Amino acid sequence: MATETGIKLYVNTIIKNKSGLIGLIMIIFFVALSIYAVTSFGKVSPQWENSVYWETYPKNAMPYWMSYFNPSKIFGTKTISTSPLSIYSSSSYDIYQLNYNFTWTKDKPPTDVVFYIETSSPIQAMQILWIKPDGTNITLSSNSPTSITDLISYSSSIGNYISQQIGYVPSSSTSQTYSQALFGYEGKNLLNGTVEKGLYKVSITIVTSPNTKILSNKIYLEGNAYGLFGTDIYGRPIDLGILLGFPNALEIGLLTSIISVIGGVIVGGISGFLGGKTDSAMNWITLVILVLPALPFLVVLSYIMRPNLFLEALLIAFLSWPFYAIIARSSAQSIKNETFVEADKVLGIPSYRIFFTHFLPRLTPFAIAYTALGVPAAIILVETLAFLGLTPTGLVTWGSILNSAESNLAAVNGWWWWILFPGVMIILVSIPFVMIGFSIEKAVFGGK
Amino acid sequence: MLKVMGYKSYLAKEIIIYITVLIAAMSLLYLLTYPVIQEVLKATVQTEAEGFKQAILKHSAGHGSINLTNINILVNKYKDSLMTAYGLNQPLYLRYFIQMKNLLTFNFGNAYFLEAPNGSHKVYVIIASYLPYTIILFTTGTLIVIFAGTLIGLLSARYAGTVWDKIVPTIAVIHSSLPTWWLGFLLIAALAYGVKVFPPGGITSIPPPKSPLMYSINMLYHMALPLLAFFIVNVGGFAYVVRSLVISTTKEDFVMTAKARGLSDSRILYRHILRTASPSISTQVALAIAGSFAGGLTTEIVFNWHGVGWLTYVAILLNDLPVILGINFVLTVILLLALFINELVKGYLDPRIKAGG
Amino acid sequence: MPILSVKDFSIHFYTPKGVRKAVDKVNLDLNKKEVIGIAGESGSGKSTLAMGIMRLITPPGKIVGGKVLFNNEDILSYDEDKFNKEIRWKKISMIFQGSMNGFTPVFKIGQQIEEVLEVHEYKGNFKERVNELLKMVELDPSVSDKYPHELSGGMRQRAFIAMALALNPEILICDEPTTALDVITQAKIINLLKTLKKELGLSIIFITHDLALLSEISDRLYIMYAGSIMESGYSLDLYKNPKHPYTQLLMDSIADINKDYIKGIPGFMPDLANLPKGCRFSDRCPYAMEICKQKEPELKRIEGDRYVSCWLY
Repeated sequence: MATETGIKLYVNTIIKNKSGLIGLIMIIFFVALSIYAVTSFGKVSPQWENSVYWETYPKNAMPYWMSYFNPSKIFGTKTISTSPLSIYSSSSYDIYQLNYNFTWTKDKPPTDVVFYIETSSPIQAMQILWIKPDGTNITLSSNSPTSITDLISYSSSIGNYISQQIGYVPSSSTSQTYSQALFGYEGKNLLNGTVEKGLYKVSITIVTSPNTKILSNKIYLEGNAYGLFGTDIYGRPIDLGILLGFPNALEIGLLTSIISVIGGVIVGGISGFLGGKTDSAMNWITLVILVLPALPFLVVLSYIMRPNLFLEALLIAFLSWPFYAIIARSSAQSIKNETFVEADKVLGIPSYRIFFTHFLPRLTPFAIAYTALGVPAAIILVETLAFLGLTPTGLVTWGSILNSAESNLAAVNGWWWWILFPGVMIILVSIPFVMIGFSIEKAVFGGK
Repeated sequence: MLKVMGYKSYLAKEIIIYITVLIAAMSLLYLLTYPVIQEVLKATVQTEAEGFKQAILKHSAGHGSINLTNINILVNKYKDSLMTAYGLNQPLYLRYFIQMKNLLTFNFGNAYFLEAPNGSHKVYVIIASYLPYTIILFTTGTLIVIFAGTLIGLLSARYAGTVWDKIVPTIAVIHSSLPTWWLGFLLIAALAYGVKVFPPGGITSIPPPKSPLMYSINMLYHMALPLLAFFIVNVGGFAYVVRSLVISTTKEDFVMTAKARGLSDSRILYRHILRTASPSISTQVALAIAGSFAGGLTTEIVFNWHGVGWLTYVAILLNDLPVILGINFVLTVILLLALFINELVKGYLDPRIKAGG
Repeated sequence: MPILSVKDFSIHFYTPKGVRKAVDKVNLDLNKKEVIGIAGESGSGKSTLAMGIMRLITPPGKIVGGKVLFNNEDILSYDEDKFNKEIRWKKISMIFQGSMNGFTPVFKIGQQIEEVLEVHEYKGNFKERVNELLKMVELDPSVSDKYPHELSGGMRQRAFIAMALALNPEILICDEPTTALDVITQAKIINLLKTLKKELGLSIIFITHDLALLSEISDRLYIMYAGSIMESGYSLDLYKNPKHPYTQLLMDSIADINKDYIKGIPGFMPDLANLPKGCRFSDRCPYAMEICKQKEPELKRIEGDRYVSCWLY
């Protein structure tokens, strides 16, 4: 056992040990990321489950850096805008025309095309003329024009076009197919995957009520690569989700760990210190909690209680403290048998004072080591529950991202980025705590 | 105190403690879950009664006169029968005592909604038909982990200060930071759908092979991925425990004197140290095996392995209280049994315990 | 020719605080059928020396120099296997301060003695040999069927001595074999060792901080301080006429029932990683001179078989 105590000792211990120092730096970095997440993206969090919010994002896009390996097939989203032309204005309606030109050089068509026109009053009618580099064209019209439309919104126009060209109705009607139709050569081979490269011209005509202003306009040529970690099936960027998961993971991990270690040290410490009947009784209670099948029990309680973050921390702590109590108890017993404690007893010093002067200070290093080790355990449990769909409502967690990856068959579809990165985060956030815990444990208990 | 009691009465006392612990743990589970589930069930009864009433009304609509009073009596009778079936018309304390008595006599009653593959609604039949798969998967996994973990732990303790010594703490970090279900999910994506080497889940192919040999091979093939995930996550933890136990035993006096006696290092390690540390390792083994059954819930869900973990999850989703209670009871009994067997094994392995030392 | 001769033997411990010279260029001789005593305060390196002779030093400790000659052959140069086969326990065996905990707790006494016989390929009946050995240390043969924890401390120490004698060693190293025992058991064990020495013709290295005990058993004495020999000579000479100031103070500190106080040695043993320049006892020595702080004295023969390492002589 260390002879020095106090915060300084722990800081020294951690910093002197190489892995402890790396751990500490990583934790500081994670805390900074959490603060950044809360301050910059706090408003995005409630929108996570709202699929409309993510409409303009590419769906199932792989990480953007993948495009460096194969730039002609993997690419990010391209946006183009133009200045609208007013071509007719009367007291009953206005007509605007928006002309876009862009050059397409990739081997694959965009995953989707999204037309975004924000107007001061609703659009009444809208027609899109799509002219390919070879001059062939297709007209898209929608019965219910809105400010955001994607290719699915024009499924009847594009569907007709396809069946005209290839002679039958295609089996799949995804935005991928429609996009191929807009970028392929006309004729039987429209959908065979070849892409017309060159200058495309898109002309959108909209009819609005009088005195309507076009506030902004854009065409999104959706890529199949986005951001650091790609996007999911709804277009939600995985990197953003991971960032939003940081504060929750750290908060619940620390909270749970601190509550359960404090509980365990108090129960185990008192139990080992007092001995006798108190010890037997406390041992019994510890055993009762210990034998409960923790994970099924936790799943049952989370399912029926639907706890918030704090309550969930309490539930996990309620099931975790016995582990710390057992270790604290044996430490307390060995401290009890040391000469200076016996000397104090002989001198008639009351036992509560011995508890505070000798026991607590010597149980502190133990408590700090196990608090650090308890954090990843708690984080993993919370993410596990989230993976089972038991997330505290309104929170974005890595477990819930993985849950939605599983229910949307990410494994079957090969969307590896959706599975890989959130899980790697669970590991990454756990490692520094484990390293710090191990280094304190090693320093305090001599490598045992 | 132990010395006076003797080993046998010590064991008897342990049994009594374990039984009281079992009752207390089950009470805790029951009292924490029942009140909420009761509400859910009441709502279910209400909707079912309403549906029943609508069905009668629809049915009798063509028959001219509708006697609402009679129908209401009928509906109430139906409602009562449901309330009795779910035990909702008795006060909580009475339900509690009946439930505890039933649990302790292994009479788990009938499931509300679930049924066994053979169509039985008896909870014990349901559990009995899923439990073997959990035991097969996780006992195999734990045994492999124990074997490899002990070997790695011993090697690292023997070659302290070399590369071996660094490996164990590193893989122990993996153990403490890697969720099995996520690794499983990743392995499925990579090895089942990516390169298609292993099946993505399930216990056997559908339909299962007929001959027992092919059936076993098919099942082993399906076990490969879950076992791999389980092994990667757990081997480091076990090796770390073995290493710590061996290193702390190595510091005892008898190791030095054994070396002085001219015994070879490997003889000291495998015969003297391992044998002396074996009671503590046995405790770890008991806890690991019993704990893996309950802890495998997510692994079973990810790999679609229909064992008790998977069953628990389905029962929870359906609010099937008798099944939930039954499974938790069985898992708790298994853990207590493991602890008790561990007492016996320790008594056998360590002569000091038997003497009450 | 001595049966065992230690030449310039050094053992260093490589700790984070520096290199601790636990044994620093020690020389000693053990003649056939002789008992030599090594005395010193705890931490003087006497146990490390014994462990070093048995080659039981574990990291961070390391034997860094010197020779240990057994029948004129350097046993430090043997490889581990050869040393295990030919020397350890067969020629040189050892009993420890912790010998009562020296048995592996999970095996019976008989099993453990038989294991020694088996490992060293003893020719003869193992059971008979065990009984013979137990008889030699005045234990009942039934002890062989007992677990270590079923015996008292004194009985365990006897059983360990029996095990130490199993292969008829020529040298027995006794490292504080009686320290943890009560006075009566202590006396019995010492008497047993005396008898055994006579009967078996053993050469013994006896290590203790208990000078009174050494005077009773040893022929010659080595006084050790901070990893180095301060003085050596015949026990009686050394007792009657201690030369080195440290020996003198050590003799004074022996509890004497004629005095009503015990005199200690002022100060503390120096840090072995940071020895004072000059004589290592200089900072506690009542006679310290200028040269003592500058230059380390060598172990010099001053008369007969008496060697002293001090600038006073």
